[in-house]
Amino acid sequence: MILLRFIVRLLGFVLLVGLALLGGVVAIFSIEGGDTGLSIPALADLVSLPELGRTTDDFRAQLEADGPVATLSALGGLAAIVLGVVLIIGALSPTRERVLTLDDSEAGRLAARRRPLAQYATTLAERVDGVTDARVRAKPGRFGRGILKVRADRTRPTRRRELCQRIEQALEPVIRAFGLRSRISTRVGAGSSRVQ
Amino acid sequence: MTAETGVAPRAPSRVGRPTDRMLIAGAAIAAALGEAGVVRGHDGGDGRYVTIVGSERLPGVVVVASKGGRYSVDLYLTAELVPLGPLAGRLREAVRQNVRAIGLEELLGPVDVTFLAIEERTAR
Repeated sequence: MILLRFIVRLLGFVLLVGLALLGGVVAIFSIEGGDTGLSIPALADLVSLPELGRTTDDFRAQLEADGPVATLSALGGLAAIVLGVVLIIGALSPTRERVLTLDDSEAGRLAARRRPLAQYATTLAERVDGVTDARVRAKPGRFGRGILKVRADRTRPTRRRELCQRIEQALEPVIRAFGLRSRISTRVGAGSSRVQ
Repeated sequence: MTAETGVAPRAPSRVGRPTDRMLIAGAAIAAALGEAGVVRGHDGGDGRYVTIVGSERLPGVVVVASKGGRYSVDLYLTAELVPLGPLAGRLREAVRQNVRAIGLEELLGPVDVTFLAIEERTAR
């Protein structure tokens, strides 16, 4: 997303500079009337607009017929559409951090990015006896309360219900601090017969 | 940073005297970095959470003028693997103390704390 925003900003800057230069040139060539000197027809001659017109006439004729030019044009059109979509995403994507808010009072707001919160919870969950692997995702809830989704691998002898309780206890500091709900699921992990 | 207060020294701004906003930013980030459990200020990855004080760059703090002539302080931090709620409470108190030490407490508004990353410190 950072790259998209950078592309949008860079392209916007380049386009604005180009537009400003073009406007300046047109303004200068509007000083005089007639067909010579600093006039618009003279500018058209200077940038070979009549020749360009003839060239584009030829190009349009080739475009209407089947052939490599038509294929290339279609690909160019598709690339332009993709570029447009990318630029729209870069321009419209929200710039605010997507964070989980713990507390929002007069004293201030306490929040955390979802990833470090999940990372914190994962570390706590992986320390629980009987867990061989844990993955935690933190998601903001619809009604203000976020949710921690925990998927833990357990050893075969470990009972599922007991393990869920232990994980919940281990996650208590983060659940309580951030007013989160938790959803814990476990499964017997690969290689679970090994001693931890 | 002074040893007694932990407050950043008054760095000159481009126009001479540092502004209240700059002073509050320096005091706030100094307080945060002095708190156990805080690893460093986080600039947001693309430098959006940085305050420039003279020639000094303060990553992890943004001070914004808010209503009532006060300044709200936004701290963006990398923390250790510690309980974040209590840490935020300690941070607010430390920021208030440091801002009080430079005589600008009446200008201090809400102190927002956002943890952008967590690092587990390995035992040596």
